[in-house]
Amino acid sequence: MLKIQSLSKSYQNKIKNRVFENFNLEIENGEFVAVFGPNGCGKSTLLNSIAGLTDIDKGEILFNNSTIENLKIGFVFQDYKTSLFPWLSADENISFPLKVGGFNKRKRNLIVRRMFKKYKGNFDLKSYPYELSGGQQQFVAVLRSIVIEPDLILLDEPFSSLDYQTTLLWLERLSKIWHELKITTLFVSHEIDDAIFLAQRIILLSNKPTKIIKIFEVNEKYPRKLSFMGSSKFNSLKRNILSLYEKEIRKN
Amino acid sequence: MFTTNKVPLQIFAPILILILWMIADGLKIVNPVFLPSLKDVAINIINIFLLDGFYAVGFTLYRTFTSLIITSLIAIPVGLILGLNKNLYTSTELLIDFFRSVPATAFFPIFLLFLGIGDMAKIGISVFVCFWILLINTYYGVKNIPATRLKVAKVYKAEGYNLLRFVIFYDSLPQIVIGLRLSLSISLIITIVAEMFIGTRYGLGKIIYDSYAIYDTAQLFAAIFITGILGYILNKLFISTEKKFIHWIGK
Repeated sequence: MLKIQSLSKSYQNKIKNRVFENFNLEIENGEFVAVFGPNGCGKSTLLNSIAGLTDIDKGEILFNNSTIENLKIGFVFQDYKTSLFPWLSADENISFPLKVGGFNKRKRNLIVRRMFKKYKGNFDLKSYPYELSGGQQQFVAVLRSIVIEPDLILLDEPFSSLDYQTTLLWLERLSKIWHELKITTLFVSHEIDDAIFLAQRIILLSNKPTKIIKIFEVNEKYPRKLSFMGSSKFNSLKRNILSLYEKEIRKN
Repeated sequence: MFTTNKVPLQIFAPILILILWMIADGLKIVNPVFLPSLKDVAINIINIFLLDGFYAVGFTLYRTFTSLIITSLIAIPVGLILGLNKNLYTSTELLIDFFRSVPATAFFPIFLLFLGIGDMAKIGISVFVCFWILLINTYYGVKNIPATRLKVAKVYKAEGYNLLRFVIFYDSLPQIVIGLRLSLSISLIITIVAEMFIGTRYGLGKIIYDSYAIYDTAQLFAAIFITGILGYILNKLFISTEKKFIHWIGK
Protein backbone atom coordinates (compact mmCIF):
# COMPACT_ATOMS: atom_id res chain seq x y z
CA MET A 1 0.00 0.00 0.00
CA LEU A 2 1.20 3.50 -0.85
CA LYS A 3 0.57 5.65 2.17
CA ILE A 4 0.98 9.42 2.20
CA GLN A 5 0.73 10.69 5.75
CA SER A 6 0.34 14.33 6.80
CA LEU A 7 2.34 15.58 3.86
CA SER A 8 3.23 19.27 4.02
CA LYS A 9 5.01 21.12 1.27
CA SER A 10 5.31 24.79 0.50
CA TYR A 11 7.31 26.81 -1.98
CA GLN A 12 8.94 30.01 -0.88
CA ASN A 13 8.65 32.65 -3.55
CA LYS A 14 7.87 36.26 -2.70
CA ILE A 15 5.03 34.96 -0.62
CA LYS A 16 4.85 31.57 1.01
CA ASN A 17 2.94 29.24 -1.25
CA ARG A 18 1.39 26.35 0.69
CA VAL A 19 0.72 23.47 -1.65
CA PHE A 20 0.03 20.70 0.84
CA GLU A 21 -0.84 20.90 4.50
CA ASN A 22 -1.45 17.65 6.33
CA PHE A 23 -2.38 15.85 3.15
CA ASN A 24 -3.25 12.15 3.42
CA LEU A 25 -3.76 9.57 0.71
CA GLU A 26 -3.79 5.79 0.55
CA ILE A 27 -3.54 3.64 -2.53
CA GLU A 28 -3.92 -0.13 -2.44
CA ASN A 29 -1.40 -2.41 -4.12
CA GLY A 30 -2.32 -3.07 -7.72
CA GLU A 31 -4.74 -0.17 -7.87
CA PHE A 32 -5.00 2.39 -10.69
CA VAL A 33 -5.75 5.80 -9.22
CA ALA A 34 -6.20 9.05 -11.10
CA VAL A 35 -5.69 12.46 -9.55
CA PHE A 36 -7.74 15.31 -10.95
CA GLY A 37 -7.95 18.91 -9.82
CA PRO A 38 -7.60 22.62 -10.55
CA ASN A 39 -4.45 24.05 -12.10
CA GLY A 40 -1.60 24.45 -9.67
CA CYS A 41 -3.19 22.27 -6.99
CA GLY A 42 0.06 20.36 -6.66
CA LYS A 43 -0.63 17.29 -8.77
CA SER A 44 2.89 17.27 -10.17
CA THR A 45 4.35 18.11 -6.78
CA LEU A 46 2.59 15.05 -5.41
CA LEU A 47 4.16 12.78 -8.04
CA ASN A 48 7.59 14.38 -7.65
CA SER A 49 7.42 13.92 -3.88
CA ILE A 50 6.53 10.24 -4.22
CA ALA A 51 9.35 9.75 -6.75
CA GLY A 52 11.81 11.47 -4.43
CA LEU A 53 12.43 14.27 -6.92
CA THR A 54 11.17 16.95 -4.53
CA ASP A 55 11.95 17.18 -0.84
CA ILE A 56 8.91 17.37 1.37
CA ASP A 57 8.71 19.66 4.39
CA LYS A 58 6.83 17.34 6.71
CA GLY A 59 5.08 14.01 6.67
CA GLU A 60 5.83 10.54 5.44
CA ILE A 61 5.51 8.63 2.21
CA LEU A 62 5.55 4.87 2.74
CA PHE A 63 5.17 1.94 0.41
CA ASN A 64 4.35 -1.35 2.12
CA ASN A 65 5.52 0.27 5.35
CA SER A 66 9.01 1.12 4.13
CA THR A 67 10.38 4.41 2.88
CA ILE A 68 10.48 5.23 -0.80
CA GLU A 69 14.26 5.40 -1.22
CA ASN A 70 14.68 1.86 -2.48
CA LEU A 71 11.38 1.76 -4.28
CA LYS A 72 11.46 0.85 -7.96
CA ILE A 73 9.48 3.56 -9.72
CA GLY A 74 8.45 3.93 -13.33
CA PHE A 75 7.76 7.53 -14.28
CA VAL A 76 6.24 8.75 -17.53
CA PHE A 77 6.67 12.46 -18.02
CA GLN A 78 4.43 14.83 -19.88
CA ASP A 79 7.10 15.94 -22.31
CA TYR A 80 8.44 12.89 -24.13
CA LYS A 81 10.72 15.11 -26.21
CA THR A 82 12.94 15.97 -23.27
CA SER A 83 12.31 12.88 -21.19
CA LEU A 84 13.85 10.53 -23.74
CA PHE A 85 17.59 10.57 -24.28
CA PRO A 86 18.10 11.84 -27.85
CA TRP A 87 21.52 10.21 -28.22
CA LEU A 88 20.13 6.74 -27.48
CA SER A 89 18.13 4.63 -29.91
CA ALA A 90 14.65 3.43 -28.92
CA ASP A 91 15.86 0.13 -27.47
CA GLU A 92 18.68 1.83 -25.56
CA ASN A 93 16.19 4.32 -24.14
CA ILE A 94 13.88 1.54 -23.00
CA SER A 95 16.72 -0.39 -21.40
CA PHE A 96 18.28 2.63 -19.71
CA PRO A 97 17.04 1.65 -16.21
CA LEU A 98 18.45 -1.85 -16.76
CA LYS A 99 21.81 -0.45 -17.83
CA VAL A 100 21.98 1.64 -14.67
CA GLY A 101 21.00 -1.48 -12.76
CA GLY A 102 24.00 -3.32 -14.17
CA PHE A 103 22.33 -5.77 -16.58
CA ASN A 104 24.63 -6.81 -19.41
CA LYS A 105 23.90 -5.95 -23.01
CA ARG A 106 22.67 -9.39 -24.06
CA LYS A 107 20.20 -9.57 -21.20
CA ARG A 108 19.00 -6.02 -21.82
CA ASN A 109 18.37 -6.73 -25.49
CA LEU A 110 16.49 -9.89 -24.65
CA ILE A 111 14.18 -8.18 -22.17
CA VAL A 112 13.53 -5.18 -24.42
CA ARG A 113 12.84 -7.24 -27.51
CA ARG A 114 10.48 -9.58 -25.68
CA MET A 115 8.57 -6.66 -24.18
CA PHE A 116 8.45 -4.73 -27.45
CA LYS A 117 6.92 -7.73 -29.18
CA LYS A 118 4.48 -8.40 -26.35
CA TYR A 119 3.06 -4.88 -26.49
CA LYS A 120 3.02 -4.88 -30.29
CA GLY A 121 5.62 -2.22 -31.01
CA ASN A 122 5.60 -1.54 -34.74
CA PHE A 123 8.71 0.48 -35.50
CA ASP A 124 12.44 -0.10 -35.77
CA LEU A 125 13.94 -0.39 -32.28
CA LYS A 126 17.17 1.06 -33.63
CA SER A 127 15.46 4.36 -34.51
CA TYR A 128 16.37 7.46 -32.58
CA PRO A 129 13.62 9.40 -30.78
CA TYR A 130 13.71 12.18 -33.38
CA GLU A 131 12.85 9.63 -36.06
CA LEU A 132 9.69 8.52 -34.23
CA SER A 133 6.23 10.06 -34.00
CA GLY A 134 4.97 11.54 -30.73
CA GLY A 135 2.93 8.45 -29.95
CA GLN A 136 5.86 6.14 -30.66
CA GLN A 137 8.13 8.25 -28.46
CA GLN A 138 5.66 8.06 -25.60
CA PHE A 139 5.45 4.30 -26.18
CA VAL A 140 9.22 4.15 -25.67
CA ALA A 141 8.83 6.18 -22.48
CA VAL A 142 6.08 3.86 -21.21
CA LEU A 143 8.13 0.72 -21.94
CA ARG A 144 11.08 2.32 -20.18
CA SER A 145 8.89 2.87 -17.13
CA ILE A 146 7.81 -0.78 -16.89
CA VAL A 147 11.04 -2.48 -17.98
CA ILE A 148 12.31 -2.71 -14.40
CA GLU A 149 9.04 -4.26 -13.19
CA PRO A 150 8.43 -1.31 -10.90
CA ASP A 151 6.59 -1.35 -7.59
CA LEU A 152 4.82 1.82 -8.60
CA ILE A 153 4.11 3.69 -11.82
CA LEU A 154 3.65 7.45 -11.90
CA LEU A 155 2.09 9.02 -14.98
CA ASP A 156 2.36 12.80 -15.21
CA GLU A 157 -0.09 13.90 -17.90
CA PRO A 158 1.42 11.46 -20.38
CA PHE A 159 -1.02 12.34 -23.16
CA SER A 160 -0.97 16.11 -23.00
CA SER A 161 1.60 16.43 -25.78
CA LEU A 162 -0.20 13.95 -28.04
CA ASP A 163 -3.00 14.65 -30.51
CA TYR A 164 -6.56 13.46 -29.83
CA GLN A 165 -6.50 10.47 -32.18
CA THR A 166 -3.22 9.19 -30.75
CA THR A 167 -4.50 9.73 -27.22
CA LEU A 168 -7.61 7.61 -27.83
CA LEU A 169 -5.55 4.70 -29.14
CA TRP A 170 -3.19 5.14 -26.23
CA LEU A 171 -5.98 4.95 -23.68
CA GLU A 172 -7.00 1.48 -24.85
CA ARG A 173 -3.43 0.36 -25.10
CA LEU A 174 -2.51 1.61 -21.63
CA SER A 175 -5.60 0.01 -20.11
CA LYS A 176 -4.52 -3.30 -21.66
CA ILE A 177 -0.92 -3.00 -20.50
CA TRP A 178 -2.09 -2.18 -17.01
CA HIS A 179 -4.58 -5.03 -17.00
CA GLU A 180 -1.72 -7.45 -17.69
CA LEU A 181 0.72 -5.97 -15.19
CA LYS A 182 -1.57 -4.81 -12.36
CA ILE A 183 1.11 -2.49 -11.04
CA THR A 184 0.06 0.20 -8.57
CA THR A 185 -0.38 3.31 -10.68
CA LEU A 186 -0.91 6.96 -9.90
CA PHE A 187 -2.06 8.98 -12.88
CA VAL A 188 -2.18 12.76 -12.93
CA SER A 189 -4.41 14.22 -15.60
CA HIS A 190 -6.15 17.42 -16.55
CA GLU A 191 -8.42 15.53 -18.94
CA ILE A 192 -11.32 14.07 -17.01
CA ASP A 193 -12.12 11.61 -19.84
CA ASP A 194 -8.65 10.07 -19.62
CA ALA A 195 -8.94 9.79 -15.85
CA ILE A 196 -12.33 8.06 -15.89
CA PHE A 197 -11.35 5.76 -18.73
CA LEU A 198 -8.21 4.47 -17.06
CA ALA A 199 -8.70 4.62 -13.31
CA GLN A 200 -10.46 2.53 -10.69
CA ARG A 201 -10.64 5.50 -8.38
CA ILE A 202 -10.55 9.20 -9.14
CA ILE A 203 -9.38 11.60 -6.50
CA LEU A 204 -10.72 15.11 -6.93
CA LEU A 205 -8.43 17.67 -5.35
CA SER A 206 -9.21 21.18 -4.13
CA ASN A 207 -7.37 24.45 -4.60
CA LYS A 208 -4.32 25.13 -2.46
CA PRO A 209 -3.70 24.17 0.29
CA THR A 210 -4.77 20.97 -1.35
CA LYS A 211 -7.32 18.62 0.21
CA ILE A 212 -9.28 15.73 -1.18
CA ILE A 213 -12.77 16.91 -2.11
CA LYS A 214 -14.15 13.54 -3.00
CA ILE A 215 -13.12 10.10 -4.19
CA PHE A 216 -15.05 8.53 -7.05
CA GLU A 217 -15.13 4.83 -7.88
CA VAL A 218 -15.15 3.71 -11.51
CA ASN A 219 -16.68 0.24 -11.70
CA GLU A 220 -15.76 -1.07 -15.10
CA LYS A 221 -13.69 -4.13 -15.85
CA TYR A 222 -10.37 -4.12 -17.67
CA PRO A 223 -9.17 -4.03 -20.38
CA ARG A 224 -11.55 -1.20 -21.15
CA LYS A 225 -12.75 -0.46 -24.66
CA LEU A 226 -13.27 2.98 -26.17
CA SER A 227 -17.01 2.32 -26.30
CA PHE A 228 -16.97 2.77 -22.50
CA MET A 229 -16.49 6.49 -23.14
CA GLY A 230 -19.92 6.72 -24.76
CA SER A 231 -21.76 4.82 -22.05
CA SER A 232 -24.25 6.43 -19.68
CA LYS A 233 -22.24 5.14 -16.71
CA PHE A 234 -19.22 7.08 -17.98
CA ASN A 235 -21.19 10.23 -18.60
CA SER A 236 -23.08 10.38 -15.34
CA LEU A 237 -19.80 9.91 -13.47
CA LYS A 238 -18.23 12.65 -15.56
CA ARG A 239 -21.18 14.97 -14.79
CA ASN A 240 -20.84 14.37 -11.05
CA ILE A 241 -17.11 15.01 -11.03
CA LEU A 242 -17.32 18.09 -13.23
CA SER A 243 -20.06 19.74 -11.18
CA LEU A 244 -17.91 19.52 -8.03
CA TYR A 245 -14.86 20.56 -10.02
CA GLU A 246 -16.67 23.58 -11.42
CA LYS A 247 -17.68 24.72 -7.93
CA GLU A 248 -14.05 24.49 -6.87
CA ILE A 249 -12.56 26.43 -9.76
CA ARG A 250 -15.19 29.17 -9.43
CA LYS A 251 -13.99 29.86 -5.89
CA ASN A 252 -10.96 31.66 -7.31
CA MET B 1 29.62 18.40 -49.27
CA PHE B 2 28.49 20.57 -52.19
CA THR B 3 25.56 19.87 -54.43
CA THR B 4 26.17 20.34 -58.13
CA ASN B 5 23.66 23.09 -58.71
CA LYS B 6 25.15 25.18 -55.89
CA VAL B 7 28.74 25.10 -57.09
CA PRO B 8 28.57 28.10 -59.45
CA LEU B 9 27.29 30.40 -56.67
CA GLN B 10 29.79 29.20 -54.11
CA ILE B 11 32.84 29.77 -56.28
CA PHE B 12 31.58 33.12 -57.56
CA ALA B 13 33.41 35.37 -55.07
CA PRO B 14 36.76 33.49 -55.16
CA ILE B 15 36.78 33.59 -58.98
CA LEU B 16 35.92 37.28 -58.97
CA ILE B 17 38.87 37.99 -56.69
CA LEU B 18 41.19 35.98 -58.92
CA ILE B 19 39.97 37.86 -62.02
CA LEU B 20 40.47 41.25 -60.33
CA TRP B 21 43.90 40.11 -59.24
CA MET B 22 44.85 39.10 -62.79
CA ILE B 23 43.54 42.40 -64.17
CA ALA B 24 45.56 44.41 -61.64
CA ASP B 25 48.55 42.26 -62.48
CA GLY B 26 48.17 42.57 -66.26
CA LEU B 27 47.73 46.35 -66.14
CA LYS B 28 50.68 46.67 -63.72
CA ILE B 29 48.72 49.02 -61.45
CA VAL B 30 50.19 47.64 -58.24
CA ASN B 31 53.86 47.28 -57.41
CA PRO B 32 54.64 43.51 -57.42
CA VAL B 33 56.36 43.91 -54.02
CA PHE B 34 52.87 44.47 -52.60
CA LEU B 35 50.89 42.28 -54.97
CA PRO B 36 52.88 39.56 -56.73
CA SER B 37 51.52 37.97 -59.88
CA LEU B 38 49.19 34.99 -59.60
CA LYS B 39 51.69 32.89 -61.52
CA ASP B 40 54.54 33.69 -59.10
CA VAL B 41 52.36 32.75 -56.14
CA ALA B 42 51.41 29.47 -57.79
CA ILE B 43 55.06 28.68 -58.51
CA ASN B 44 55.93 29.49 -54.92
CA ILE B 45 53.23 27.16 -53.60
CA ILE B 46 54.82 24.35 -55.59
CA ASN B 47 58.31 25.40 -54.47
CA ILE B 48 57.31 25.40 -50.82
CA PHE B 49 56.12 21.81 -51.13
CA LEU B 50 59.24 20.84 -53.10
CA LEU B 51 61.37 22.24 -50.29
CA ASP B 52 60.14 21.59 -46.72
CA GLY B 53 56.42 22.37 -47.15
CA PHE B 54 55.21 18.97 -46.02
CA TYR B 55 57.33 19.18 -42.88
CA ALA B 56 55.98 22.65 -42.23
CA VAL B 57 52.36 21.54 -42.57
CA GLY B 58 53.12 18.43 -40.53
CA PHE B 59 54.71 20.29 -37.64
CA THR B 60 52.02 22.96 -37.60
CA LEU B 61 49.37 20.24 -37.49
CA TYR B 62 51.29 18.35 -34.81
CA ARG B 63 51.43 21.43 -32.56
CA THR B 64 47.80 22.33 -33.22
CA PHE B 65 46.47 18.86 -32.44
CA THR B 66 48.76 18.15 -29.50
CA SER B 67 47.44 21.36 -27.92
CA LEU B 68 43.87 20.37 -28.69
CA ILE B 69 44.25 16.91 -27.17
CA ILE B 70 45.96 18.16 -24.01
CA THR B 71 43.34 20.90 -23.68
CA SER B 72 40.51 18.35 -23.98
CA LEU B 73 42.03 16.04 -21.39
CA ILE B 74 42.11 18.85 -18.84
CA ALA B 75 39.27 21.21 -19.73
CA ILE B 76 36.43 18.70 -20.26
CA PRO B 77 36.73 16.95 -16.86
CA VAL B 78 37.22 20.26 -15.05
CA GLY B 79 34.25 21.78 -16.91
CA LEU B 80 32.03 18.84 -15.97
CA ILE B 81 33.05 19.12 -12.32
CA LEU B 82 32.42 22.88 -12.26
CA GLY B 83 29.06 22.39 -13.95
CA LEU B 84 28.02 19.95 -11.25
CA ASN B 85 29.27 21.96 -8.32
CA LYS B 86 27.73 25.39 -8.02
CA ASN B 87 29.94 26.54 -5.15
CA LEU B 88 33.11 25.52 -6.93
CA TYR B 89 32.03 27.45 -10.02
CA THR B 90 31.04 30.54 -8.09
CA SER B 91 34.39 30.63 -6.33
CA THR B 92 36.36 30.28 -9.58
CA GLU B 93 34.14 32.31 -11.90
CA LEU B 94 36.08 35.56 -11.52
CA LEU B 95 39.38 33.86 -12.26
CA ILE B 96 38.01 32.08 -15.33
CA ASP B 97 36.45 35.27 -16.68
CA PHE B 98 39.69 37.14 -16.16
CA PHE B 99 41.93 34.64 -17.90
CA ARG B 100 39.68 34.18 -20.89
CA SER B 101 39.48 37.96 -21.29
CA VAL B 102 43.24 38.52 -21.51
CA PRO B 103 44.34 38.63 -25.19
CA ALA B 104 46.16 35.38 -25.88
CA THR B 105 49.31 36.98 -27.23
CA ALA B 106 49.87 38.84 -23.96
CA PHE B 107 50.87 35.52 -22.40
CA PHE B 108 53.70 34.86 -24.87
CA PRO B 109 56.52 36.37 -22.80
CA ILE B 110 55.50 34.48 -19.67
CA PHE B 111 55.48 31.16 -21.48
CA LEU B 112 58.83 31.93 -23.11
CA LEU B 113 60.21 32.72 -19.69
CA PHE B 114 59.01 29.48 -18.16
CA LEU B 115 59.13 27.00 -21.02
CA GLY B 116 61.87 28.31 -23.28
CA ILE B 117 61.55 28.63 -27.05
CA GLY B 118 60.87 25.03 -28.04
CA ASP B 119 57.64 23.23 -28.78
CA MET B 120 56.80 23.15 -25.07
CA ALA B 121 56.24 26.90 -25.08
CA LYS B 122 54.25 26.93 -28.33
CA ILE B 123 51.98 24.10 -27.26
CA GLY B 124 51.80 25.45 -23.71
CA ILE B 125 50.45 28.82 -24.83
CA SER B 126 47.91 27.19 -27.11
CA VAL B 127 46.72 24.85 -24.38
CA PHE B 128 46.46 27.73 -21.93
CA VAL B 129 44.37 29.86 -24.29
CA CYS B 130 42.09 27.05 -25.50
CA PHE B 131 41.61 25.70 -21.97
CA TRP B 132 39.35 28.57 -20.90
CA ILE B 133 37.26 28.38 -24.05
CA LEU B 134 36.64 24.65 -23.78
CA LEU B 135 36.13 24.91 -20.02
CA ILE B 136 33.42 27.54 -20.34
CA ASN B 137 31.65 25.62 -23.10
CA THR B 138 31.72 22.36 -21.16
CA TYR B 139 30.39 24.19 -18.11
CA TYR B 140 27.49 25.70 -20.06
CA GLY B 141 26.81 22.31 -21.59
CA VAL B 142 26.23 20.88 -18.12
CA LYS B 143 24.25 23.91 -16.95
CA ASN B 144 21.82 23.73 -19.87
CA ILE B 145 20.79 20.11 -19.40
CA PRO B 146 16.96 20.01 -19.33
CA ALA B 147 15.59 19.50 -15.82
CA THR B 148 13.31 16.68 -17.00
CA ARG B 149 16.30 14.64 -18.17
CA LEU B 150 17.95 14.89 -14.78
CA LYS B 151 14.67 13.82 -13.17
CA VAL B 152 14.50 10.79 -15.46
CA ALA B 153 18.07 9.93 -14.53
CA LYS B 154 17.24 10.25 -10.84
CA VAL B 155 14.03 8.21 -11.02
CA TYR B 156 15.94 5.38 -12.69
CA LYS B 157 18.67 5.62 -10.04
CA ALA B 158 21.54 6.91 -12.17
CA GLU B 159 23.83 8.48 -9.59
CA GLY B 160 27.46 9.54 -9.30
CA TYR B 161 29.67 8.11 -12.00
CA ASN B 162 26.74 6.49 -13.85
CA LEU B 163 24.94 9.83 -13.96
CA LEU B 164 28.08 11.46 -15.32
CA ARG B 165 28.89 8.94 -18.05
CA PHE B 166 25.36 7.95 -19.09
CA VAL B 167 23.60 11.31 -18.99
CA ILE B 168 25.60 14.42 -18.18
CA PHE B 169 28.45 13.73 -20.58
CA TYR B 170 26.15 13.14 -23.56
CA ASP B 171 23.83 15.97 -22.71
CA SER B 172 26.69 18.44 -22.60
CA LEU B 173 28.44 16.92 -25.64
CA PRO B 174 26.91 19.31 -28.23
CA GLN B 175 28.25 22.31 -26.31
CA ILE B 176 31.59 20.57 -25.72
CA VAL B 177 31.86 20.03 -29.47
CA ILE B 178 31.24 23.74 -30.06
CA GLY B 179 34.06 24.45 -27.62
CA LEU B 180 36.30 21.99 -29.45
CA ARG B 181 35.60 23.57 -32.81
CA LEU B 182 36.44 27.03 -31.45
CA SER B 183 39.55 25.62 -29.79
CA LEU B 184 40.70 24.01 -33.03
CA SER B 185 40.56 27.34 -34.88
CA ILE B 186 42.23 29.21 -32.06
CA SER B 187 44.85 26.54 -31.56
CA LEU B 188 45.82 26.87 -35.23
CA ILE B 189 46.01 30.65 -34.90
CA ILE B 190 48.17 30.51 -31.78
CA THR B 191 50.43 27.87 -33.34
CA ILE B 192 51.01 29.99 -36.45
CA VAL B 193 51.65 33.13 -34.39
CA ALA B 194 53.99 31.24 -32.07
CA GLU B 195 55.90 29.84 -35.02
CA MET B 196 56.20 33.34 -36.45
CA PHE B 197 57.43 35.08 -33.36
CA ILE B 198 59.13 32.41 -31.31
CA GLY B 199 60.68 30.76 -34.33
CA THR B 200 61.12 27.09 -35.16
CA ARG B 201 62.83 24.86 -37.69
CA TYR B 202 59.66 23.75 -39.47
CA GLY B 203 56.25 25.37 -39.47
CA LEU B 204 53.92 27.40 -41.68
CA GLY B 205 54.32 30.38 -39.35
CA LYS B 206 58.05 30.28 -39.88
CA ILE B 207 57.71 30.31 -43.69
CA ILE B 208 55.36 33.29 -43.42
CA TYR B 209 57.76 35.20 -41.18
CA ASP B 210 60.87 34.34 -43.19
CA SER B 211 59.20 35.44 -46.43
CA TYR B 212 58.33 38.73 -44.82
CA ALA B 213 61.84 39.21 -43.47
CA ILE B 214 63.38 38.92 -46.95
CA TYR B 215 60.52 40.78 -48.70
CA ASP B 216 59.60 37.72 -50.78
CA THR B 217 55.94 38.65 -51.21
CA ALA B 218 55.16 35.88 -53.67
CA GLN B 219 56.32 33.27 -51.16
CA LEU B 220 54.50 35.12 -48.37
CA PHE B 221 51.24 34.96 -50.31
CA ALA B 222 51.87 31.31 -51.11
CA ALA B 223 52.41 30.45 -47.44
CA ILE B 224 49.30 32.39 -46.39
CA PHE B 225 47.30 30.54 -49.03
CA ILE B 226 48.52 27.15 -47.80
CA THR B 227 47.70 28.11 -44.21
CA GLY B 228 44.24 29.28 -45.24
CA ILE B 229 43.50 26.06 -47.09
CA LEU B 230 44.71 24.07 -44.10
CA GLY B 231 42.39 25.97 -41.76
CA TYR B 232 39.49 25.54 -44.17
CA ILE B 233 40.02 21.79 -44.53
CA LEU B 234 40.33 21.32 -40.76
CA ASN B 235 37.10 23.20 -40.19
CA LYS B 236 35.19 21.26 -42.86
CA LEU B 237 36.52 17.93 -41.60
CA PHE B 238 35.51 18.82 -38.08
CA ILE B 239 31.98 19.80 -39.06
CA SER B 240 31.45 16.64 -41.10
CA THR B 241 32.63 14.38 -38.27
CA GLU B 242 30.76 16.25 -35.55
CA LYS B 243 27.48 15.45 -37.31
CA LYS B 244 28.15 11.78 -36.63
CA PHE B 245 28.96 12.32 -32.97
CA ILE B 246 26.05 14.59 -32.14
CA HIS B 247 23.57 13.32 -34.71
CA TRP B 248 20.58 14.30 -32.59
CA ILE B 249 21.23 18.03 -32.67
CA GLY B 250 18.74 20.17 -34.57
CA LYS B 251 16.26 17.34 -34.99
